[in-house]
Amino acid sequence: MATVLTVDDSPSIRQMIKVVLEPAGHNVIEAGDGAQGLAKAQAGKLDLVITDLNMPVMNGLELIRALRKLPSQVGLPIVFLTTESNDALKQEAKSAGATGWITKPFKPEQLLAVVNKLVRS
Amino acid sequence: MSSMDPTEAFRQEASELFETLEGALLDLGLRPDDRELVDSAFRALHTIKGSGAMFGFDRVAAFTHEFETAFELVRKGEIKPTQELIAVALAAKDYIRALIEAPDSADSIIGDAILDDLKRFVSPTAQVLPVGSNADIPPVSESRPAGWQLRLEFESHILRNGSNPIDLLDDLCKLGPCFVVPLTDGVPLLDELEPEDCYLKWDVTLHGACDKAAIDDVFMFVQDEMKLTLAQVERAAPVLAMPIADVELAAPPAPAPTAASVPAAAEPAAPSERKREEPRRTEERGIATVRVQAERLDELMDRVGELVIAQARLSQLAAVGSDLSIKMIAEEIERLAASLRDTTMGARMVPIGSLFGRFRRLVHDLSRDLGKPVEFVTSGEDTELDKTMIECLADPLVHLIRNAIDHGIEDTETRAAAGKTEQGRIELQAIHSGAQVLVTVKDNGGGLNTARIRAKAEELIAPGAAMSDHEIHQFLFHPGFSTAQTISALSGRGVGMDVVKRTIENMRGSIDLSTKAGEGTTVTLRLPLTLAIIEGLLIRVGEGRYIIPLPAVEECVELTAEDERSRGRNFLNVRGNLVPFLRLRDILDVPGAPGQHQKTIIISTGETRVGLVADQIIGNHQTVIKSLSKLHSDVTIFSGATILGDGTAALILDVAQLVALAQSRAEKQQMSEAA
Repeated sequence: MATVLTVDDSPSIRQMIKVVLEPAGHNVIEAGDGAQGLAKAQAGKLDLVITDLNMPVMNGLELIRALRKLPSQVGLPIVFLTTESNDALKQEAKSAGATGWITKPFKPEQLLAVVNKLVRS
Repeated sequence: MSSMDPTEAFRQEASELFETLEGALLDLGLRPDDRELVDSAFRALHTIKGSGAMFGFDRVAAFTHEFETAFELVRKGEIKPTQELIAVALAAKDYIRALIEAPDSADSIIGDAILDDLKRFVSPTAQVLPVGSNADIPPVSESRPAGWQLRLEFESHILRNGSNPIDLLDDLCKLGPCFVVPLTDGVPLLDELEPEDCYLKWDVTLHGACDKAAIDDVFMFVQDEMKLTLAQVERAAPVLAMPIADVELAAPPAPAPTAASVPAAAEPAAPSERKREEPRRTEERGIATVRVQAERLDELMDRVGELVIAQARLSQLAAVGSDLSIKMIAEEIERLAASLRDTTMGARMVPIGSLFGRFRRLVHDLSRDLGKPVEFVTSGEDTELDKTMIECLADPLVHLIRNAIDHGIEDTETRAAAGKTEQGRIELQAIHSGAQVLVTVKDNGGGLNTARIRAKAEELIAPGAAMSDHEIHQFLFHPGFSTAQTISALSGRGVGMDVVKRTIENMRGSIDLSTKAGEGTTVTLRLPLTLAIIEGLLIRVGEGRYIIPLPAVEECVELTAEDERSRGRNFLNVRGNLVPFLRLRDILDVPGAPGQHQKTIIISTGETRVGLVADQIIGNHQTVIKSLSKLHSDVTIFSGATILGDGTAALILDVAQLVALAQSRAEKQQMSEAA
């Protein structure tokens, strides 16, 4: 069982992630923006972060860079949500320190595949 | 052999058939038109198939059938056996062999790959094949690869971005059996090592016909942070079946049951551990499979001995001369000869400790059964002996140890009454002594009852005959001789000591007994090393040169004028301890006056120390021990001879004998002084 932090300003996306991951045995924590996400990451050990890039207050790129500076979360896999069309942004997120990505729109099995790929027991 | 297990018989038969098959295939490469060879290969295959099915080797039968079918065209003479085709056929043969000898290690993926290859080679004349089967065979250009060869090189920051190469290797293993080798050459020294960086590269051989897309999928997130070199392996070499199986054993439980590889670790320390693991396993296999006739090893050892002597001469010449390049070559040859010598010796020699270990249990059980607490002490476990000799020693030693516990060690009441510790003690020791190895079994029991042995012996000889105790004790080695009043399960049947003696003498060794009433018995086995090479200390006495085995040498001291004055007493004061010494000039009857600066070499066997006075200490010498001829069998103080660098001979002093000689002289002296 892994602790997954999902950071997205859209509650429906967060809800969907939760609905997919919780039956698979994962513990899902939610955050509405980058700043909240960072605070949650500082509060406890995480196994995976799934974050949107385009968010108010602190966007995904800033969150990724901030998370990479956290000594308590070294090696934390960070996945961002992106769209097929935006290759430049994908590169930017990767160089900010993201581990992988999920292309929107995604199917539940695609999400699970990525989570299983990055989270090991 | 009627008693043989039929499966075993089949294995043996198959092994011969494989040889026939391999020979025929190889010859076919040279003479592709020889029909006889094709037929002979076919017959062998057919028999393997038939017998295999009979003895339950279903996979063998199935595979061989496929092989046979594919090869049918060759038999009909419709295609020529090309080199490539023969190579595949040989691989197929190896695979069948693996199926029979180690069915678990033979992966059917490899078998399928071989069959695919085989079909590919024989199918260009596709019209011969029925249409149905043609559909199964992919076109040559898109043939399913038997596997992939990958090299993974990650950027050093990969771990910081949350990717874990171990996980990726794990995923790769899910695609098919993998053989993973970490490449550690990029790992820097510890003080330059950045713990969060990834320095390792990996070579992966993936067996299995997965598509490239599946592999790309594994690395989807890291593709732009790594260099992935990917090559198709056309034929999976069946040889690899073994390493794969091994890795499987070595691997920690993998997340997926199909994963067959070690998830190589990202920490620099872990891969080295894996690397260690591998050679060791290879080694184990080597031991299990290579058998060499003992005589061949003897011959090899002789040649090496001669080489060492020749090399010593070369070194000596080079040392005298001023040619630097000759010196360099001489040094190189010296190094090579030394390592060749060690390797050759190592091929035959095993530490005796492997044998000693078995006796711990024996002593434990006997001591419990007989109610005699016994402490078992061993020393000299690393003394090396010829392997065959060690095997022959096991039974005699079991017997001697049983005797020591049953007859030697008294029961607790007797021991208590005699003022001894309740717990008896048995020492098993092995030491090198010149060209011999001494193995002693020593107990601190009651000693031999000489009177009782004599009484029993007088049933065989004239009563009252003059015999030394030593001679009386020799009766113990007579067949059927026993003084035991009751026969126990362990001893007293009078069978044993004679067998022990015979076994030891068969090894050209000797057995000796010494005993002291109330203090215990020591049985000494002297075992020869027909040829061995030891480190020796080369000394000069008069004109002659002699070797003292270096392990026996404790120290070298100057013989002082004061010691010299004590002539007749022959005791040396070494830091407050009196050590008896022997003048080698006297023992070796060297004429003339000794030089001014005589040296004393202190030698020891166990607890006893003795000084040997020599004229000069020349230095260390790699000594190839040659046994003395039978004519010299009555010479006790030499255990062998060697040839020096200049071609002259030097005799090797027998340390044990010299110590005994010095002791008896010292005792005589003390007795005469006391008188």
